[in-house]
Amino acid sequence: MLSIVLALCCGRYPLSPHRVVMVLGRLLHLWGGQDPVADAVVQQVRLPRVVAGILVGSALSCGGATYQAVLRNPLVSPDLLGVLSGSAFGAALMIVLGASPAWIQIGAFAGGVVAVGSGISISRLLPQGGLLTLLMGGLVANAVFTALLSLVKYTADPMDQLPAVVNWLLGTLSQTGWKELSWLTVPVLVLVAVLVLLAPLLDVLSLGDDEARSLGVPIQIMRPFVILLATLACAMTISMAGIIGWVGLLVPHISRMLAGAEHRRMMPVCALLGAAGVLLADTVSRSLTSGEVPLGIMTELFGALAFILVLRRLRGDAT
Amino acid sequence: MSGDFLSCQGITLKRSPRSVVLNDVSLKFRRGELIGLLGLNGAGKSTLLRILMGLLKPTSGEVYLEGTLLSSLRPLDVARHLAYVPQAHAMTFPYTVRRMVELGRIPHHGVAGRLGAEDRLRVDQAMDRLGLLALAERPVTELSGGEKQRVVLARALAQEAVGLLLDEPMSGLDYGHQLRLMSLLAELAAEGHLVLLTSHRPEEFFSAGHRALILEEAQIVADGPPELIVTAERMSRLYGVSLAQIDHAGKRFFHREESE
Repeated sequence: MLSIVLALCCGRYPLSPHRVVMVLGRLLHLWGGQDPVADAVVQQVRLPRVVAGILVGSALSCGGATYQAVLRNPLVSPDLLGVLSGSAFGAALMIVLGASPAWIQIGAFAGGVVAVGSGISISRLLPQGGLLTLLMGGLVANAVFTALLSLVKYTADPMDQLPAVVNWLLGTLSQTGWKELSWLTVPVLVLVAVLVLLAPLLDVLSLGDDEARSLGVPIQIMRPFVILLATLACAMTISMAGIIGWVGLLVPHISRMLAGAEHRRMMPVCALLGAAGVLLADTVSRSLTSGEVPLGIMTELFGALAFILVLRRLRGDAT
Repeated sequence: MSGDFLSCQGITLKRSPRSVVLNDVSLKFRRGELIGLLGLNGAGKSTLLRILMGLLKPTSGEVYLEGTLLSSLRPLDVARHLAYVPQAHAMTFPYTVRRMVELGRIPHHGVAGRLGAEDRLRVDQAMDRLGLLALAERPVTELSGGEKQRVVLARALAQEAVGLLLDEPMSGLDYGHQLRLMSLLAELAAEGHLVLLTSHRPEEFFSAGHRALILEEAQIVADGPPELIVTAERMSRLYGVSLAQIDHAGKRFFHREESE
């Protein structure tokens, strides 16, 4: 709640909490009155960013926690199976082709899903199966889509297309308005809710393959299914805001420190903390300077520093 | 196959045409049996357990659970009948000991189901039998290897399966816990469980076990009561070390022969 209030109040045009409450009341038709500037700032600029920040933060952090559990590695982020590189390639391709913002979003979403799908398909071609081959498939897909992204950047017009690609890759919530939110809000919320509801399954999937299967869980079906859900959630957020790093890696760690490792308790905390974290980072990114520092840079910067603190704490707990 | 709880018929597993791990293995197991499976490293003991659990598909042959083809059963149905303790276990995340043991109740209430009073009782009983109640709220990542092994064993007990397939369950346990576990397994067999374990310590189940199997060169070469199978002569041949045996108070001990 505090991060929502801060996000609505802070910015280049500061608003008092009272003015924000009055705007929200008018929006909900609770009372009348007029404050055209505050109405415009809150309703058209900050509120869509708040909604987008909540969606991006909760989806990335729950997606990251899911990847970590399913891949049995607390140090993985959603990028491991190629969702970020695939989305980046899809969006960059659309920018170079001169597509509209809506098609750039579709390209980013499709790129992420195709990259992870390719990784899983490649892993099925490899002998033995299991977690290691899945990681190897993801590695191959990641490398291929990173190379394709470089190819698109190399062929992009350096005067206008390349800066547009670079800007998109840096990640920002400034391009997200009510129009984009109208078709992304429900699917992202549903995916986050499903991931939170599937939390007990994550406990089992984080065991060894044989252990999970001996408990009656068909891991060969459930693991790709859960990865698909997490991938869809992450790809949707990337299509909305570009590449927002560290959230999917860092927030699950902090959530485990606060709520314990059991996913039933940790996943709701993860969703809330991810949303609050992205909102705060976005508020800082647009309040810090007269311009706007891309959100992706803020999360990379603060994420890396915070991760050092988390690792220190984890090391302290272990000794 | 009537009367057999678990059986396999003509199990063959080939990694390649030249590499045969198991060759035409047929076995029958009944409730109440405590069986030790002996063999050299890489003989195929763990592979055989995984096939009996339905975790690995053999090149040919079938496994039957109470006369029904194992591969035709739903995974949860298999898990209600057979519990498995693997040699190595992944404990990446710091779940509490209690949570790890609670996972053993999944075959009974499903993955998403809430634990009932009956489930909690079984979990407490399983932890109690393995001496884990004092560690219940400790993160498993902070436990020693032997304590982790006891957690996985407790989870298998919480599963309440009739068949317990244990791959080197004594590994990592201190001497006291090895003895306690062997007594517990004998108790479980007496209660009607089928307990099949692999081990590199033949003395362990000489006194408590009902049956010993030797897996050698991809086949079961000996199957019978421990007093006839676990002998110095056979163990010397199996392990390539000259051994002498001492029988004392119903137990058998082995030592290397002086002349060697």
